[in-house]
Amino acid sequence: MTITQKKPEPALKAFVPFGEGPLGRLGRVLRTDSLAAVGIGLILLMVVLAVFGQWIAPFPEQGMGQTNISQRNLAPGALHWLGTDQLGRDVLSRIVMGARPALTVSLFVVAIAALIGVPLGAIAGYRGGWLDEVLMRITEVFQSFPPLLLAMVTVAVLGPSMTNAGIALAICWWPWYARLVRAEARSLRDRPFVEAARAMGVPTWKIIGQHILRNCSTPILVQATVDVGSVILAAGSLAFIGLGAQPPSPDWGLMVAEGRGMVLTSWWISTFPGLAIFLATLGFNLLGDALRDYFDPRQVKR
Amino acid sequence: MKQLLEVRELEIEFSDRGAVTNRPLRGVNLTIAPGEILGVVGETGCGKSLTGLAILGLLPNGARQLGTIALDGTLATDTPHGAASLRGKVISLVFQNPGTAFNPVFTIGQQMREVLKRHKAMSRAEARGHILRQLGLVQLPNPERVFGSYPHELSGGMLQRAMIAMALLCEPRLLILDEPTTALDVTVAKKILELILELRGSFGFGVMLISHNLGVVRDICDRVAVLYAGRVIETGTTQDVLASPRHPYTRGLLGALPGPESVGRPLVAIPGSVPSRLLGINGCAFANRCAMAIDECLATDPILQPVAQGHEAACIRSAES
Amino acid sequence: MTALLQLDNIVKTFRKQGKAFHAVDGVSLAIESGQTFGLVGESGSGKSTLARCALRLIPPTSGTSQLDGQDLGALSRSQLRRARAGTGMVFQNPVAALNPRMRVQALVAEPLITHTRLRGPALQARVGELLDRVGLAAEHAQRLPHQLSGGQCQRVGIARALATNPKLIVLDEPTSALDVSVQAQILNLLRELREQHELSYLLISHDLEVVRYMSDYVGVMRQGQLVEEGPTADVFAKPRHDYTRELLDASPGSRHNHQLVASAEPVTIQL
Repeated sequence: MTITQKKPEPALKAFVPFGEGPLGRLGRVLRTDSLAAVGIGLILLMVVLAVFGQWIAPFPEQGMGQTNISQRNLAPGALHWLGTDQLGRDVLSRIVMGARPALTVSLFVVAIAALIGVPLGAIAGYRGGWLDEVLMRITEVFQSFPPLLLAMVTVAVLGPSMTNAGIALAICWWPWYARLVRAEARSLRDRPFVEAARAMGVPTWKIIGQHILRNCSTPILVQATVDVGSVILAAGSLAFIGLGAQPPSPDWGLMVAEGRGMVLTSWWISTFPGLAIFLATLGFNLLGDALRDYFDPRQVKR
Repeated sequence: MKQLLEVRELEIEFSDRGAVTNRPLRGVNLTIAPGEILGVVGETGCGKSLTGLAILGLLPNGARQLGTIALDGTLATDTPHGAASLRGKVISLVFQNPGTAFNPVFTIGQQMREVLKRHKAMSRAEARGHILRQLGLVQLPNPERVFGSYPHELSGGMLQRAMIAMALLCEPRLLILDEPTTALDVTVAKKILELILELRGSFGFGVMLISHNLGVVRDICDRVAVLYAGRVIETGTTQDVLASPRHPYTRGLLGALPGPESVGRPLVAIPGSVPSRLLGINGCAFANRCAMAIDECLATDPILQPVAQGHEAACIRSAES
Repeated sequence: MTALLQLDNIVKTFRKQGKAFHAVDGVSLAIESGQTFGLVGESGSGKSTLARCALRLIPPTSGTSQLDGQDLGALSRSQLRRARAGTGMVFQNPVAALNPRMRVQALVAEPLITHTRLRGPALQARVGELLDRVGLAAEHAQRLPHQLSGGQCQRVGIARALATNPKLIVLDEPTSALDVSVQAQILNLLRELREQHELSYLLISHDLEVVRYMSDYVGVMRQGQLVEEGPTADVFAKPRHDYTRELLDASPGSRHNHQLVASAEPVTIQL
């Protein structure tokens, strides 16, 4: 016996040693994680409604507020799939037309919050010392108020409107980004590659941009995605108590508020907008989870 | 001679949805006689740690094992719960990093008592006495203090001693040491190695010492098995293998080590690196890095053959050097 | 003649729970141009801290560090940043020392963008030249660090350290995370580069054989102090300090001619 018998090699699957391409990875996340697919589906639907709402809605002018008194409080039926409200407007049309403002406001709020919070957090975390102390005490002041209360106070001062509600929410939201990024920056600043950059004489602002922020882009993106959903809910809550969007704009929170007196008799007026808020929030949460998996291939879900 | 441990044609495969994705062990053969210290050496990815885990029955999920592992002539797979029932009792493991091998929230004594509880019927007082004796045996200066200490209160060297004491609690026949001194300073490492030799002398257990450090192996091992790409490619007494290596890879490893005689000239480096995925290799896995490779090396898969008394090498040109 | 690197009485004190701890306790040493100085010691002996103080990556509590006659402590922040073009550093963990999100091309370009006006094709050409010099192929330029082996990552690290043509490179345990066969490749590369570029190295290692192989001068550190220093051959042949002797004696593989291989026959179990 000098040479072992070769066993036939089993069929090999295509195996890419350096990880699959971005599309392949997306495919795998969608295949293996049905919740991610649901989330992506919901968000896609919402985006389509936001962009093409006026062509999709059966009664776009009612969606924008035109009343139709003769058709008040109709139950869901063949013409009005989700019924009509107390002013005779088609609920489905109003939900469809409400997607755009909801999405716009929440994207605006998250963008502003991230724009303020991310740089402050990165500087505080990387530099440390007194600057860190000062910045973090400021965020604590903001965070020590219940967020809705803070938003209510801001709106009360600025006057109720959709824009002011957005500003109020951004003021409540940025400290979370500051704290998230600060924590990431603190753990990154002692990593060898950051020390290597310092040893090479790379300027501080570049270290923060190239090495710190680039390496915490995933948690920021995930947090932002989840927050878009949360802001939809928060903006809806403000509208519900009359501090956000004003009638007759097609705001989901406002619609829930308008129908709440008739929940027992005309349940569809409040229920369907509420469901829209729920599905949008759920969708962004699922998408956030999916993104986390997508960007971290090591953490495979079992 | 009856072997304490006999591993035959051990293969490990990982697969993903039915397709084999990697085969990190491709037929490992090794034996350890009672009281013998076998050094298992090789570079990252050669399969040395995986061999240790397979013997302990601690393979990760999804790994498929072929071949046999026999302890004292009994196949590990024939015992009621497989190799798992042998773990801690007949075979013990000492990890590379003593700092993380202990649970930080329990004292050393509590963790050692846990091991005894699983394998031996002993009263609390008996267990305590037994543990204190073991801690004394590994030459820890103050066993009572160590017994009540949390891992972070002890130095790396002391922890590794405690780890060895824990491994010896149930009088194992075989001790697997996975890089036991890699995380330690040289002066501390030296004392740990001395301790292992001394304990082997008094208890006669067999040792499988997994290391990438040929110096450590040279210092305490009776025999050596050199692993490359999931196979033993050379084995024999430490003296034979390290003084007159017959496989080009072993020669390469020895040549790559800087020593007094290499000062002033380039080291004999092995070009390239260890293959990361061991599938579809037809000839010798080392052929593409080997200076002696000929066409035949790419076509035939060499197996271990005797080159001298008790010295085997898996190279078709082993006779020529 | 002034030394390339001159350290005078460097002290670095850390405060730990109110207690002062001297990580480096009054170390002076000089590295002449073209020399390699090996610093050995066990973990916690202060050798890494000393190297960082030497480059003023962390400010020493007291003492001065002069590079080419220039006191680094007297420089302003931006002057110090510019002075870093004259030094390079190679790190222990080759993968962790590279930003996981940057491709090799960008990693090697980083010091060049920081210290030179090279941009565009000229920059790319210089990166290609550096990769070639450390034995990497052009195709590696587009890889991310996790797509390279440890040895390849260390080559990238060396290419970065070389980029600005420094005179001094600090090697902080450059091979201790690598396998022996790869270690040999990297040590050979470092020796070649030293000759081609007339580099000086400050080599930190716990491996005495690596230090003996690479260095002209050796310093042995223990508890923040330099306990022995001298030409490599002298220190290894005639160690004067007890601690140096202890280290030499404990070095793995050095013992096979000593008393240790006594018990070859197993002894029967007696429990």
